[in-house]
Amino acid sequence: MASRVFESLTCWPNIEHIQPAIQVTLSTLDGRRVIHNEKLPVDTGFAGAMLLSRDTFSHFEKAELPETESRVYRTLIGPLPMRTARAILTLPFQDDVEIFVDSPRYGVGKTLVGLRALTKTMLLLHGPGSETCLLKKKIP
Amino acid sequence: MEVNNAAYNALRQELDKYAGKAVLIANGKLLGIYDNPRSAALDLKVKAPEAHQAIITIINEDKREELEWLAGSLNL
Repeated sequence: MASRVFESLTCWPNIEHIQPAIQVTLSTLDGRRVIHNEKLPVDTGFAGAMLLSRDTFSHFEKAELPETESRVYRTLIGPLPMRTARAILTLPFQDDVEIFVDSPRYGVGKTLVGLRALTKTMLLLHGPGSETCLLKKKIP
Repeated sequence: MEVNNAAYNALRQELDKYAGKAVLIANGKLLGIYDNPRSAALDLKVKAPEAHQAIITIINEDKREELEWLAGSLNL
């Protein structure tokens, strides 16, 4: 089996030593930055790209999906309807990518980075070091 | 947003002919059809700069998805 070697491009300390985190810039479709180089928690249990608090989501209401097309999340307490909108995500060392952001239709929500935001990244969840690192493949 | 959702629902069948295109609805009206959502967002600033909310959706591509949210951060 061929071995693969990676090197870290940058690392961020975990939030409260537990929660993995990654630096994110999030903009509206017309280019207005709402979150600028902010370290946000990563939650791999959230299958969407990003969950936003109600306040933060309000900046993206000009590119919202119709209610009939907005997402629903299956949770342990039952289906959770969301408001869903388009946004532009920029991760360090990555090109901009258009994503959908969600915010609970009921409740104040919270902000986190989910699985779909990470599909184009190589991420190391470094438990012993209590940090999260962005990787690139090292060419021998 | 209710007024935009109502307009979208009323127009939905008629919009089928714009499959693959982005539509922009604000102030309860269809404002335009675009090749992509970014063009729609930029045109919103011109056609309805006062609008606080708008719908931008790609006809027949944007569909309701059901996704998983496991328990970790489920604290709303």
